[in-house]
Amino acid sequence: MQSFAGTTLDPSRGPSVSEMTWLTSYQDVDEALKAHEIVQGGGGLRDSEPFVGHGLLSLSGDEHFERRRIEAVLFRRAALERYQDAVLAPALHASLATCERGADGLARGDLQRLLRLALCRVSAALVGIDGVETPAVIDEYLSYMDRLSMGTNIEWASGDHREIIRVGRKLRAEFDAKYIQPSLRRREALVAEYRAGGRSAEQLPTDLLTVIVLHKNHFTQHSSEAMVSEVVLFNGATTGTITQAVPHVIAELSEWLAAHPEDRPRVEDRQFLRRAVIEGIRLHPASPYLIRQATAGKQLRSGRRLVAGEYVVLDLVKSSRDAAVFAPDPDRFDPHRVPKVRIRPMGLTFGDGPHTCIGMSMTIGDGGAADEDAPLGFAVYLVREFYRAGIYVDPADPPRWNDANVRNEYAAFPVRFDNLAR
Amino acid sequence: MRVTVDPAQCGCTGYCVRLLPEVFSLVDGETARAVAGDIPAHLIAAVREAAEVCPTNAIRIEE
Repeated sequence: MQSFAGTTLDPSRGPSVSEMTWLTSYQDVDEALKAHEIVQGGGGLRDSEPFVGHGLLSLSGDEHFERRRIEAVLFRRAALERYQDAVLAPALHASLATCERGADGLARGDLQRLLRLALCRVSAALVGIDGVETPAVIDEYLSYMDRLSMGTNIEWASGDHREIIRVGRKLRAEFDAKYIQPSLRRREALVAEYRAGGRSAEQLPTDLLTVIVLHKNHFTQHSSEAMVSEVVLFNGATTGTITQAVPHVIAELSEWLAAHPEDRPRVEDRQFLRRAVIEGIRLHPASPYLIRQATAGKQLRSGRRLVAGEYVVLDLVKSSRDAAVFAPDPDRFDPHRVPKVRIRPMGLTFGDGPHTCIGMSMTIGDGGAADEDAPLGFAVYLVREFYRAGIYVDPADPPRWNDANVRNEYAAFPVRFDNLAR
Repeated sequence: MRVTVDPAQCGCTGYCVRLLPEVFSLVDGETARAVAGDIPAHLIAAVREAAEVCPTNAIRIEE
């Protein structure tokens, strides 16, 4: 087991994660995610409370249901089409334009950097932060998001939690004043105009800040900080998780295509790409672990007993490679994989039950959508566009791993584009 | 309009039942189900909302 040396500041909120019970089988994790007696026990409920408390992650029961209902508007098909076509597509184009040309005339860049540049603008649009467009602002915005994620992921941090909270609170206040408040004021004016009859609902922006203004009582009933928490969460979840996932998919798929050239034409096939993205995320989940707490005694089908109040870590890395489901080659990337037992196509990596990732369709599209015009999902779209641009992972200059973090990120991922027009 | 719940996708959250008990049901230990047949016109908007709110995207609508 990886070591997580940090200790929680308030022992009444459970032990440190390394001292919790860990569930590692697919069946146990799947059952725990769906069980009504096992609720969210991490994000926003322990040391991360100042950063994501009262946000979507930390709610349960009626409040969680109400929050999902309010925020569902952001993930409607029309909204996803707009984010993909009107925001992500030009943002990716601008990002690829930053690649440097070598003496051979081919474009080169770092895949994670290219993804961060593109997705930062998408997450700003989804959240409703205006003006994240110029290189200098994008860099500053990304810097805030990186540093704020320290607080969001504090349960896994091995440093001094008190210091992380102190620095994180200061950063949050800066980010709120500089980025959230100006955009919020603009949306308050738009909503006031709408309520006065001078603007239709369709003329309002589809973004989180507008949703927050429209449902202000819901978001501020417990804490004035809930709004900032939700903005930070959505920002990090959009840019962070997809930036983490896509390089893994590209690395795995490039190796697969080299060994299976017959699949090369399938990089235009949305179902093949979707399966490849899901398989890549299975092997390299964006959130490797989830913390849950049993509210009552519970015996899992495997016979494992959890007592009331017990904290558990759901290990998405091990459970997603469980040989009972993925044998005979659970560690191998295979976009044509047929699991041994019937499971959901996306497995566990977006969670399951009420806390299933709200951005699942945004990331991998809606698998149930029958028509070919349905939004691909950002990760699927990005992988397709990178292959269209002729992405090439040079074995002589391979990606380098970042050993210092828990989220399975690369430190550097150099790539070349063989079909990228000037 | 007809509606079904994909049992392979259902996360048993019961959110569809909270929104629309006239259409959806959930028995302990099973996945959710939708009523068979055409959805009455006055419930169509609510069925669409249930599909949007379902955390696991398990609700399928046939127009």
